[in-house]
Amino acid sequence: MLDNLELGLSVAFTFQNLAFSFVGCVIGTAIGVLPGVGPVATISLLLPLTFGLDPITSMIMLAGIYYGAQYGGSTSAILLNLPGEVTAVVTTLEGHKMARAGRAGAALTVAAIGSFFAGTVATLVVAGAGPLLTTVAMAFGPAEYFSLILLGLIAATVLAHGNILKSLAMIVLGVLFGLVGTDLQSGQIRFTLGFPQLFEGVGFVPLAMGLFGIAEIIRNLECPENRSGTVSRVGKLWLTKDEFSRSVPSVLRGTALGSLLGVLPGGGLALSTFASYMLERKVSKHREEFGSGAIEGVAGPESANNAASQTSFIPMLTLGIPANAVMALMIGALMIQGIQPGPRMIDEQPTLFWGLIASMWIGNLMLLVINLPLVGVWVSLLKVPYKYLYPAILVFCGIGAYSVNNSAFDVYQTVVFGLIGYALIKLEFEPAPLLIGFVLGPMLEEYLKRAMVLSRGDVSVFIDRPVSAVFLALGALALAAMILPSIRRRKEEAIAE
Amino acid sequence: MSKQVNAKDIASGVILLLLAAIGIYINLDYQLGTASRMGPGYMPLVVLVALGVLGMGVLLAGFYGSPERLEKWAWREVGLILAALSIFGAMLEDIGMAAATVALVVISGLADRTQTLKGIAALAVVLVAICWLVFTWGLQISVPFLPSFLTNP
Repeated sequence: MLDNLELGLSVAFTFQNLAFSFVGCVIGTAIGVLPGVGPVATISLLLPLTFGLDPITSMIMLAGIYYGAQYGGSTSAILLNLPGEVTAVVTTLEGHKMARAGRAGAALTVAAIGSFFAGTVATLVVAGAGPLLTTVAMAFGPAEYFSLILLGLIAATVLAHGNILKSLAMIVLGVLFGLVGTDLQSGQIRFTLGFPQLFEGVGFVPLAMGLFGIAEIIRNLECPENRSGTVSRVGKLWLTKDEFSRSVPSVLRGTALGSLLGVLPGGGLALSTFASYMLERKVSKHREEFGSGAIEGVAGPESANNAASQTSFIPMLTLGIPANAVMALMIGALMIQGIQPGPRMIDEQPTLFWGLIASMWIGNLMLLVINLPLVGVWVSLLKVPYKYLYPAILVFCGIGAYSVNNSAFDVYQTVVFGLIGYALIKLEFEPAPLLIGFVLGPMLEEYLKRAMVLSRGDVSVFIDRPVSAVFLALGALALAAMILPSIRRRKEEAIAE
Repeated sequence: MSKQVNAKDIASGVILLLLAAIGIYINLDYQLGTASRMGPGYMPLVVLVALGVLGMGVLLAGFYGSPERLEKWAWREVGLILAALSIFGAMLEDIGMAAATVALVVISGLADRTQTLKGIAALAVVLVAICWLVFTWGLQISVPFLPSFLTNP
């Protein structure tokens, strides 16, 4: 493992990769800080910028954007009480209360240091677990893959909030969008509605940008309260001795929780922050302070969040299966670069695999360095009024969408997906499962076809092969666990009436 | 008194069912093949049936769920933002990035009622400058900056 990490460090430490990691971290933080722009929107917005780069450099930059956006999100959560996304909700609970009490600086510091520590540990976890899982995955045949992807798709809905049927429908709709275009085996052109530009399939960038970027803009314009607020003063950054000693165990617990839960497909990130918050509130000696600015409630969840965002790379790097919407974007970026993520990546692209892991740690270090001293810059960004921001975001979306294929059609696709995304918000659908379904759809079909050819059309192959059967059983279990409580609840409601 | 239903879920269910029906109709043209040799229509049919079943489920759940009305759409914002981006796309190739950016800023600027004429003008100038710096000078993408009739007389 040490040899490999050395290889990774040698890749990550080239001037070009360091520079792009830095640029990614800065841009990610800058955009992540902006209220109303979450990590998924940020990455889909900036995705086209990376197409001209080497695969490894582009992954390093995207990873930097990802962590940067997470860090930036906690800054606006603490100072502005505006969570950019679900994972930052917990941070607002205690972090913003600390800010009101004049300890915003301490909250920011503990979030940054906790995240750095968690990121370091989680990077080692990825380096250790990655190759192990890869060896296991190499033994998988098409049947195992099919069942695994199915499990991944089901899991993607487990932690999505809201109606489970609607989340499942989003997955299925995503898979359907993924099937648009030319069928590779028969050459049949499917569901293109007569547009030759769709022969290669629905555009990944327009889909992500429209669903997350454009729809978010319209939503923010509609509800101004989502994006404004008073910015708290930062105050002193240093932690007091007491604050420091209270934070250490929370950071350790958060790191452990996050590293474990991050691997889960679906909502490992959000789950880990909530779980860590609950845990801290249970074990804290200062339970009475929770709700009015307990530092443990920032240290734990922020560490958990960062550890989980690191380990959520594991299923993507080893199996090619995205654990969340950001990882789906990463897979999309790799595929545009002509690389199919999966167990073979570690052998075929060792520099990519290990370079990315090494750059995770470097990215975390950079974030620590650029975040705390530059906090004043980020605060001033928080004060940019939204009316100047959204036209700028729109222009970047437009140029970004166009430059993928140099085609205006992709801009129109973005418009269509923007409309779809807004309709989904209005009807209370979650767009993230759709994105995951879109990425996994073509793979699902491919493996289904292959498995059925091998078994001569016998469906029982998925149950006869033990590993595949276990995946399917887990999926069924997850489904049952999700559906049963909601039925029970509905029954109770009916009886109560 | 009319029964209280979850209008959002009912609308969602109907839309999903419609999509499934249209999809299945289009899919009639594609060969299904057999389970051991799946044609191009096999997987879509499975997916579309699943979509229909889920749509049915969402629809039924709408009749029993907690009552909720359809939300109003912010048509003005939707129209202006999407129109701004579409026009931007249409202008980009032939009329160039500079003019397209100005058009986008003006049209999308109307969507925020607190925006002023001065604000729009300033934003347009700044964004055109940033776009030139980042895309034309920095990334050197192949989008023309000025109209083609100005650069190639």
